[in-house]
Amino acid sequence: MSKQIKQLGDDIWKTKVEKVNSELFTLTYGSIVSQLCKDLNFNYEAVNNQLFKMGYNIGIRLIDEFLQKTQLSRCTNFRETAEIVSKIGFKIFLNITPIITNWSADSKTFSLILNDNPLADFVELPDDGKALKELWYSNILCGVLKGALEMVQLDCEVVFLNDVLRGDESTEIRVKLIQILKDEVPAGDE
Amino acid sequence: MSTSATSPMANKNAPLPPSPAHSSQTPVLPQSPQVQQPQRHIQHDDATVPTQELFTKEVNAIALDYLINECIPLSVRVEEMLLEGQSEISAAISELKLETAEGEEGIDNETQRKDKFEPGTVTFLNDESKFLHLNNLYRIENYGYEIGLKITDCLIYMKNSNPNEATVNMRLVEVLEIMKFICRDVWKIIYLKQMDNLRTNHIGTFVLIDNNFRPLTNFYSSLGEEDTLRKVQPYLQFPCGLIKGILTSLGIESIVKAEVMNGKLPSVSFNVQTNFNNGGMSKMM
Amino acid sequence: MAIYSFWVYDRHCNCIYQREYSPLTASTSTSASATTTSQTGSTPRLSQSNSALNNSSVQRFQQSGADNSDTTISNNTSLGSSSVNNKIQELLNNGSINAINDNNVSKLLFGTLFSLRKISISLTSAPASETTDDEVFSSHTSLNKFNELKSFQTLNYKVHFYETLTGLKFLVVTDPTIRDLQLELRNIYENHYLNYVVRNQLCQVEFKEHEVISNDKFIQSVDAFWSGLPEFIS
Repeated sequence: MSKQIKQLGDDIWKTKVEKVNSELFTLTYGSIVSQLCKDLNFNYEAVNNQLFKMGYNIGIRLIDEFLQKTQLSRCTNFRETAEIVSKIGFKIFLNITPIITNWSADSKTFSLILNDNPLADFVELPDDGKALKELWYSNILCGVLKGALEMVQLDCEVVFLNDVLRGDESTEIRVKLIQILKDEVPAGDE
Repeated sequence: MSTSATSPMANKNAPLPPSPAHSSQTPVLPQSPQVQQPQRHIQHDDATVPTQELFTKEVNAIALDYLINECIPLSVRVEEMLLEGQSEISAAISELKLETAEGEEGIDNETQRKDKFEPGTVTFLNDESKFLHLNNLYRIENYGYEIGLKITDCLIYMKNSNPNEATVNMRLVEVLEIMKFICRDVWKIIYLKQMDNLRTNHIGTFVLIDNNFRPLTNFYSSLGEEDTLRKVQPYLQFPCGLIKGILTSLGIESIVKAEVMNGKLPSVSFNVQTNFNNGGMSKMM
Repeated sequence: MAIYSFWVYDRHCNCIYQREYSPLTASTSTSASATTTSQTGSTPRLSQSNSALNNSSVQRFQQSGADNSDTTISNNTSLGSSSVNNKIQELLNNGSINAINDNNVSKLLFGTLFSLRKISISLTSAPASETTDDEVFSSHTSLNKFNELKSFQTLNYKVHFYETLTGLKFLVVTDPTIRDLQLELRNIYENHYLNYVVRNQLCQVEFKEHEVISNDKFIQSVDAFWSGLPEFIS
């Protein structure tokens, strides 16, 4: 199953995707974050929050792009979701395939390890004594995942646990399934 | 060239030179370290990775599209936060509240606004006093400007390191050459197509025309054409800033304005006034 | 043959787009099959203007001989192209847009589909699945591709249905003789909706109550799509 998913992601990336240079993407994101930090007076918590919101907005739209490209039907369980997020989602948009690991016993929480992060290539956080502790530079990714998953009825909590930019060993996003959203019922029914 | 009054903002929109002047918006703005940009030259990372490979890495163009588009709602939110921050400070002062603020008013704003944030909606368009406010236009232009400043080296390097490209004569000393560079290379790499036309009056003013400006190909207000043209201005500030930033990085001061050609999106023209007055240019694209 | 109307509902069960092309009228009192009586009961209300009542039903019967032959249809279009185009234009001009998103018919239509969809799943899923934990999604989300509702019909009309994983529901109401149009509905989602709603920075993808898709590009491109089908007019 996992192999098929990987194959699909690779095929879509190769044949169905218009591509731009990754460096340019990195620079663009970097400029936005840098500007945002200045605008918000280096209040990194507020910056994290704004980046998350950017991502949330994007994720809600990106899911339709994703479904159009992939033609996938619904996952049968959260483990499959994880595979698809990594091997298709990350693959076809950012051309990376994060490692899925650290599953919780109830199969509701997993980690994505980003060995390669096109948002943060060659980036160094400012040495102001705060950024390394407070800024989640790539927090937009959490927002994207949150928004996209929510649209397919998976209410998740998505947060960064570690980031190599902060000097951590790895870059790790934690995804936790809070609940499966029920179909909404027309007003007046039930 | 469009001479019609189709883009009402374009005229009012005085040049918005990106400069630290903007900091007057925020109460305090220490010139403290910024987020370091990706280094322009690649030699100091993984020595094992050949340069060629670095510059062939790619991402989905859609990812960049959405990222750039999202700058506009972001800017409006930032604007709101700054305004609120100011009013809260003055409120706090007038009420002389005790040490509640602690200088972290941004966070308080955030928590208060949480319920106001509605992803997937376009409520940021509703308040035109903010959406079309000069501060907002300026900030968006600045996003583009900062990127323009930084990508030039990277673009030139890429171009020169690409064996498929004819050897580039990157003698970017003549303004016209630089304009061609923007039209061909910059546009191609960011918007996946070249500009369609480049004109000049030979005394420093250039008009760059893109008949199908990628970010605006699906840009339609539900209130009709007129409203679409009203709302397009912030979205044009970004590429204006981009051009300006690239020119600045190559030592040319400029004023860049964009307008929708003949009121028909996605045709956009960019009017670039440079401080370059040498008439030594004769060839055109 | 005809396409009567096209509907889009969002995940909050609101009708975010509604377009009427030809009025659907109860044809010459042929009553519908027993299983769908309740739906037929409401059909006359789908029609907004009764002026074309006789015309449309008569024409439909006249053309019914050609219904199953694609070649005949395409010949028709090329031969009398100007008159066909006029007719198409007339239908496009006269049909309403987002006029009855919130009325009873709209709600009944949605409710019917909602119930049918639910039934189609409950009939096949093991009763035990209702109580299992969250690990298996299919017990909670009622979309299972094997039990997907494609269409339902009476003798008067057929309702084609396509639902996306994001909870958007695309519906088209047509003459019952028409082939399955689910692929067409999917096409509308993947191309027209994606381009003119999702990729349109001025258009929301989360609609509040009473908000609708009203940008001209979406309307025009969807109109062009439906009216370009040979099945469009009767």
